[in-house]
Amino acid sequence: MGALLQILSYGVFSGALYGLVALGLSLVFGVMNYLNVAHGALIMLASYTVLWVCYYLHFDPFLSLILVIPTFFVIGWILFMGLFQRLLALPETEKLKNSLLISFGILLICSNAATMLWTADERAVATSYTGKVIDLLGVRLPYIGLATVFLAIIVVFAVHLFLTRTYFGKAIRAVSQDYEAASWMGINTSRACLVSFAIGVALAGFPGVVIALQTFNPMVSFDLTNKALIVLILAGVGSLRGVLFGGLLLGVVEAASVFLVGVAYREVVGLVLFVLVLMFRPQGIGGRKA
Amino acid sequence: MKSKLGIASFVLLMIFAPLLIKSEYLLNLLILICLYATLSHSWNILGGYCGQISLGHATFFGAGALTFRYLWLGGVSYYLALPAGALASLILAFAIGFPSFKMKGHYFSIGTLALAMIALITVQNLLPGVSFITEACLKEYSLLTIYYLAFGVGVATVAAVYALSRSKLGLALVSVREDEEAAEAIGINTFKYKVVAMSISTVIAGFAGGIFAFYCGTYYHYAPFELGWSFDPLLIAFIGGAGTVVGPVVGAVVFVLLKELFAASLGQVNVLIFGIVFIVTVLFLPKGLVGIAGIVRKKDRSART
Amino acid sequence: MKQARCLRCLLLAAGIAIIAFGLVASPVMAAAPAAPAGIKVGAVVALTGRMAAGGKDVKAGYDLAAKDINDAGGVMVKAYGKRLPLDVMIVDDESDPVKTATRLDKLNSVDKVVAYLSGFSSDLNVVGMAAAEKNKVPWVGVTIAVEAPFNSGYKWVFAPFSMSHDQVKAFFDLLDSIPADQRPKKIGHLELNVDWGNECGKYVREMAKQRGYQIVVDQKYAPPTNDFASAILALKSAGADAVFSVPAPPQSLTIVKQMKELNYAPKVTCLIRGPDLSTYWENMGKDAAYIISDGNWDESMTYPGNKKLVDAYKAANPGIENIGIPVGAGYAAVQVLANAIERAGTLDRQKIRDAIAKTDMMTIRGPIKFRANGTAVIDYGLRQWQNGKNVLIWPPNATKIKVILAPPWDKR
Repeated sequence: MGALLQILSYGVFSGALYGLVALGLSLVFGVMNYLNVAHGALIMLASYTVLWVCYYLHFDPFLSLILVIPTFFVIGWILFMGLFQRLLALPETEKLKNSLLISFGILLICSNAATMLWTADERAVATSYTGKVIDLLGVRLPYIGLATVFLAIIVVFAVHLFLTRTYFGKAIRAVSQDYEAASWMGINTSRACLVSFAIGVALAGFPGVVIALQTFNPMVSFDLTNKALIVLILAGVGSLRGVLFGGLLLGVVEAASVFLVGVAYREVVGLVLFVLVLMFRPQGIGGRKA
Repeated sequence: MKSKLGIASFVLLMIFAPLLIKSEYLLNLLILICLYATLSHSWNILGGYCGQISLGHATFFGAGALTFRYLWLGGVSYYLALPAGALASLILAFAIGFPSFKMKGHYFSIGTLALAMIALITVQNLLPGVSFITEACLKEYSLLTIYYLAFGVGVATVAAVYALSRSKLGLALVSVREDEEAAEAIGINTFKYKVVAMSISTVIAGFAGGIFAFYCGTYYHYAPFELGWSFDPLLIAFIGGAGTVVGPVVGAVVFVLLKELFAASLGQVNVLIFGIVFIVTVLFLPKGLVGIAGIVRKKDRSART
Repeated sequence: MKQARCLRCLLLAAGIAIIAFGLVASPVMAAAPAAPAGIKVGAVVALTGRMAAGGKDVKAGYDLAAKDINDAGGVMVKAYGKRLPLDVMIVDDESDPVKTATRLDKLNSVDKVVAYLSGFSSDLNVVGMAAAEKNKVPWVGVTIAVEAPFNSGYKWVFAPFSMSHDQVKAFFDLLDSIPADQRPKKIGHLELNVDWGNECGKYVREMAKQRGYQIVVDQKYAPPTNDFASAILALKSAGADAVFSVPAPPQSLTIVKQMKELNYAPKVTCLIRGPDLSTYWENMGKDAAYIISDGNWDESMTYPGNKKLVDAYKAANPGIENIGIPVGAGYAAVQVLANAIERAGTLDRQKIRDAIAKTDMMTIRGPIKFRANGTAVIDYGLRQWQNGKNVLIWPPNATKIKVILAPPWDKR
């Protein structure tokens, strides 16, 4: 029983991380139908930025977010102005295709650039609380895992509040529901897209810091993007809270599957679950009808 | 008439090319071009014509490679093993590919990506070892044979796609791509056409996989299941021009030669430069390289009037 | 009709591109090596992609070795009656085995290299070995630890590197050397489900039986696995006090982090791959202490030339405290090859191959001889992280430092 709870707790931690990884991707996809496969690469770059901030400024990794998030907001802004803005006028399927291709190019460039800047060596940020745990009735809960869960809940909640309670957030939601209608209503649609893209990229900072505390190298970008895509679809497009639930579900199922099929097929079980969900509920768990 | 002559001379040129150039390296590149053009066309039928963007083609490519390899190393001659690989890939499509049509649009894309990941991890777990080329098979191994095989499959594929693009079937596929609901409304059985497109597509992917398994002497069993085999054909099709007959061929030539040139001259930055060139292509040639021909043609026409 | 013309244009363009490429490449091919300016040796090494971390180390080893040999005048080739410089040509393969094969063929047919050096990692090296066999080019390779390829009848491949058997044997020799009252008796084995891991697993089971150790946990995991909680809980409840595994580098970090989180501290933790990376201590902090890993080569080795290599590497890469093992291994591979070319006295591939097979020499990493199948009879060491340094603790003839058994986590 203790072992079961212990193993599931690790599932919850990795699930929360999956949710964070997919969050920015989901926001961008929901608002403007861009499939930004470079999101994994941006998270990877965020991890390296955290590493740098910790190394040169001796910040705590979580504190480094006050620098990392604005930096990535600006990066998102630049990427949008330089590359993605011109896709806005395209029809839906063309948008999807072109954003996929451009962001794939960015993925290649980022991974290669990171290899040159930091070498492909494995990296991680070591802290005084790495490996420290809270013992809760025999179940050992690592500080970093708990912090990941809190971070995921707070960030998802904050983004949700922003979208539902602020004027600007409402404008973004209007754009995501109907681009043309929103522009007739006098909403500056291209500005709404710009800001939500920049926020989407800035959100890469949060999983970036968690991954920096675990282990990373330039090539994790591909794995992260794959994971994010799976969670995005599992959650249902445009559902930000669904992202958290989708991530947690995937993480817990993967962890629990150890009892059924052993460690080697862990990831397969998660993916099979994903395909089954799609078969019987094609709009995802929390998504609106496509 | 003239164009037929042009194509015939191109094919003849390519048949005699290895005798003229006599370089093993160039032969390698020609094989790779044929391999990528074939695989890219396989993707193109489903993605370019029928509009079903698959991110899981590695599954079918890998199934073809795996089957070919087992038969060939087991003593079956390669010209029998090759169609067997294609058949295996088709059977796999029946088992997992067609149910995936329950998913639509981007759900299909990412669903197929998940299938490819499942296949990759499963093969990694079941067959963790290396597939060695045996002494007997090494005797049968000749770049020239592989080239003619790859070229033959490539030409057959392009011919098939050409015929498809001019047929009623091709029109039906395009109508599914353009507007699935409208197509259904005018009485087109979209599911049927998607299944047909997938069948042709996977058979070709299986052939391409067989050629990979023939060409690559020794490799880890999972190598043809790697996700790159899903993304590369898509990139190539879009570089050249998706939904066209020549697009994937031109794309494959550019893709292979450019990468080779960059790797030989740029060292570690080669992937970065390739990424930049790729983005520029997508931004300025949204229809791919065949789009250039369109621009030229337009100018041509305006000059005449 | 219009479309057909376009089609023709494009096909023509494609044809021209191919032929133009041929023309660019052909002058290189036409140059007949009557009096070669240097000895061309080719290597396809992963400089980008998943294997790039090790690839850069292998390349550094090759470059430093070639520089040292050329600074000393080059390699004496009797057939030409003079010393010729080594020209090591290194091409990237993006960690993609297909490109490894193609580019090795290019080095063979266009550049006419006399021998191949290997790339990094078994995944890519098995492809390279097949290419060497097909093209009949001698291949001297490092960073391959699987024995299976060498038992498939290949004649052109040689690996001055340790194999899975050496690694498992060193682990058990090390255990045997610990005083009986402290010696771990219960072994936990986590088997990475790739060919190398499977081979190691076979030897672990064999040797444990022969030498009277009990295997209490024997579990398989896959290369993408990133959560070891269940395996560590099993090890803990079975009371395993020595752990052996050959994880991928990221896994070697995750395993140790989770061991700490779950408060499991075996006396001996041997993770052959991963903790050998130069960044391991930076990444883990003092949690890296007591972890044992690969010691194929070490800075402290006193064999001739080793200190020079260490100094040269550190001068070229300031700020790097721990040098990656592939640097030393790669350096030794070039030494082996240069020595064989000198003994062959010609640039004939067959004769160079025969000379490599008869190798019996001293390198910066110790004496090297080859068995009939191409694997090397070689000293194999283990290293342990002690006080921020990864130090050689095995074999006893190469080091005076002894293994330290790990205390429980709360006593560190």
